[in-house]
Amino acid sequence: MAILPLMTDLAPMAVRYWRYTVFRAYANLLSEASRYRLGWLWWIAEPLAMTAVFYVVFRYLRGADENFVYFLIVGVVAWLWFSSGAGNAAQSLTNARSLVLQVKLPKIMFPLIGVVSVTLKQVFVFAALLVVVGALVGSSSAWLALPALFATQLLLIAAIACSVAFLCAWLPDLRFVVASGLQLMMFCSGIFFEIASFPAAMQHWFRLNPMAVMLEQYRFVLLEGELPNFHWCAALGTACLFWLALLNYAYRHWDGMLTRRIIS
Amino acid sequence: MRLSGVSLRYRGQPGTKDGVLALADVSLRIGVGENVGIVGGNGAGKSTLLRVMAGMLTPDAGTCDAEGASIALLALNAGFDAELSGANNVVMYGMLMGLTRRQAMARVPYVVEASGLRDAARRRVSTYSSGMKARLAFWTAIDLVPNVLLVDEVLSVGDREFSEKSRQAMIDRLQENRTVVLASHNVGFVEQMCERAIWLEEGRIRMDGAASEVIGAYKKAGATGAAGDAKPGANAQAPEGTDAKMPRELFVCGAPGCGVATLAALLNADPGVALSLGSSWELVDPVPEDRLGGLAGDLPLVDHSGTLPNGDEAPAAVSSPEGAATSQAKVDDAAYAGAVVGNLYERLDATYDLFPNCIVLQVVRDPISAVSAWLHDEATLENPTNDDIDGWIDGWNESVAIALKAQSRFGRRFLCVSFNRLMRSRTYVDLLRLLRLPPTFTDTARACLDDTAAQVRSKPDAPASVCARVERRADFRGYSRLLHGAV
Repeated sequence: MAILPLMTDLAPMAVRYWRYTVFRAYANLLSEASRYRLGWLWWIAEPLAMTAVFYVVFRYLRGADENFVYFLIVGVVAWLWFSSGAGNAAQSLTNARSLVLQVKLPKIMFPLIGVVSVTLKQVFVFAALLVVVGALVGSSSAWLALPALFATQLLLIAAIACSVAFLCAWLPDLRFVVASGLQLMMFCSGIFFEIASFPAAMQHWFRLNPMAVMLEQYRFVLLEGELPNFHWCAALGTACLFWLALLNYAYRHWDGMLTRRIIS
Repeated sequence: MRLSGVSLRYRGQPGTKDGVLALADVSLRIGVGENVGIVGGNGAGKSTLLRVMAGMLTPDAGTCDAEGASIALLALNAGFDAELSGANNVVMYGMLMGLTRRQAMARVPYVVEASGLRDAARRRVSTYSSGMKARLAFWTAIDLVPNVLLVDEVLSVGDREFSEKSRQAMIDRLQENRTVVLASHNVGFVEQMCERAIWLEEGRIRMDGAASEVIGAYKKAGATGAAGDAKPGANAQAPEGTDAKMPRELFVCGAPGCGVATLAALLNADPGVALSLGSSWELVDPVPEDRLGGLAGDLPLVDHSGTLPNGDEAPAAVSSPEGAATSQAKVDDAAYAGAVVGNLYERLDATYDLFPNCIVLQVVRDPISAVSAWLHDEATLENPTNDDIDGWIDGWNESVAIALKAQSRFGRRFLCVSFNRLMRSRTYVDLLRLLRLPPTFTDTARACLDDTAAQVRSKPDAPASVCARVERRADFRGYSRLLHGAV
């Protein structure tokens, strides 16, 4: 029963900070858009341009099969969401220095603001992807399962971003390790190749990387019209939620240490 | 609120064990409704103490118990995101303080009006001057405070209008029986507003008691140089064998918008080191705020706006009948110009009396007015020769080079440009003695003025056009290149 008063205290705080997080992410995006003449149109133009580049390079210069080009584009788009969300988190706490010195806030908010910003932008990117794939490959009812994949990936990005932000605030040198780690992960995620084409023993190792499986699931849904593996999504999502709860505890427990690291 | 044996050390470079002891065994109790002032030199630990009280910093040793009070810290910037507009920052601060987005947005017109930002509220905060940020921070936070308000130096920044308005707002809050802890260099204000004061020195409480007693002791120590900037090791940086004392404080004089903040930011000044005195010096036309955009940075300059650093009233400012709209035409009035210059010297003399170890450098935004004033002030120079004019410019450029040389030798403790005859006064002598430099010490400084001097010679008999040439050199953006080139 003791948990009830705790919940009634925490829930309004969580709602308040969540509202702030979303507004701040939104304000960041508006600010970013205002810096360019074409504004938010770049959020669509950029992924379209990138998709066009991949299409031209692999289809015409490398002579790849048209299906491979779609395979590649789906992988790249989903990967970019992950990598920008996790990569931006490395500096999220140090960038919040002036606010940290001014207002007492749960520091886990700062990487989450970055994740929400990236995700809002990603709405445009995925919209462009769906238009391209829908027009060139065709849509299917399996697309209705996409929100499950989006939610799972969002939780995965949040869990990784919060971990990265914590570690990089604790030891700034890890920023370089994170950059290299993301590159390694990119090459092990099956963006440029199909994991199923490897021997079974190796596939097992590849699939320890959640992004590798995530990309496979996207391709199942978008290119082959099959439903994703809901069990896997639920398991990964639950694990991420659990990890985020642990991280939340770590952020609170080591709040003083984090503050000193951020301001020094 | 109760603090017991609080100590806090900021760590140094990663991998080293050095650091700065910001607070050492600080114990105090602040009762509900009490108004407490905290005074002390730069680096004494005032801001750190407020941050510990606000719960942002956890002490290494000791405890800080807020005893259930909700606390807000009001300081420069208010944690603003420099990339967002002022209006968006107002909304975000409100949301952080517990307002809904709608409630927070409803406050924007009030804050914009009170802070006088108007159209600038739509611009990015990164384009704001220090004074604009201070105004925005103050009016954003002042009405959202819970029962304990910690104020860190905000009231000392900005122009006279802001200063008066914000002080009145503070007085209103104090009368609401809120607990207020006020950290400020402006000891006069602390004495006026608080019944109790705490004097911090090198992280320790040197004195805690009735405000009048503490401020009295602090001023007394200040007059002997003991209460100044107490950063460890400052004196150790003076060149060996010099008989001059390292200045403990640095004052930068100039009217609002004269470029003090911009110049200090360009030269990377230590926050809190530079002060602006004499905001009603009306010879200087205000610089449009957008000209300061992006240069002023986050430097919190302290503007005592008509009071000297000890809180005493500065010598009366000279006002023109037309007020702030004083123009070049008015400057041509010899009596007026002479009075303004005399007034400035009075202020400087008073400052020297209060802080014998300080070096006063002057920034003049509007050299046209300054030169005209000087022309009228110096009876023997009513008809200047080319050599006279060359000499002024010579001195000007030289002083720039000296200031920069001093800056590079002593870290960030010296800044700023001086202009006209001030450099023939104690400033010049002090700097030369500190640096052991000959009066004309670098070819670089000489080269800087040759170009200007050549242009001056081509217009031998028209002071206004001479001044116009000088004016061009005074543009701080263009001039910054000259400054850096001079080093």
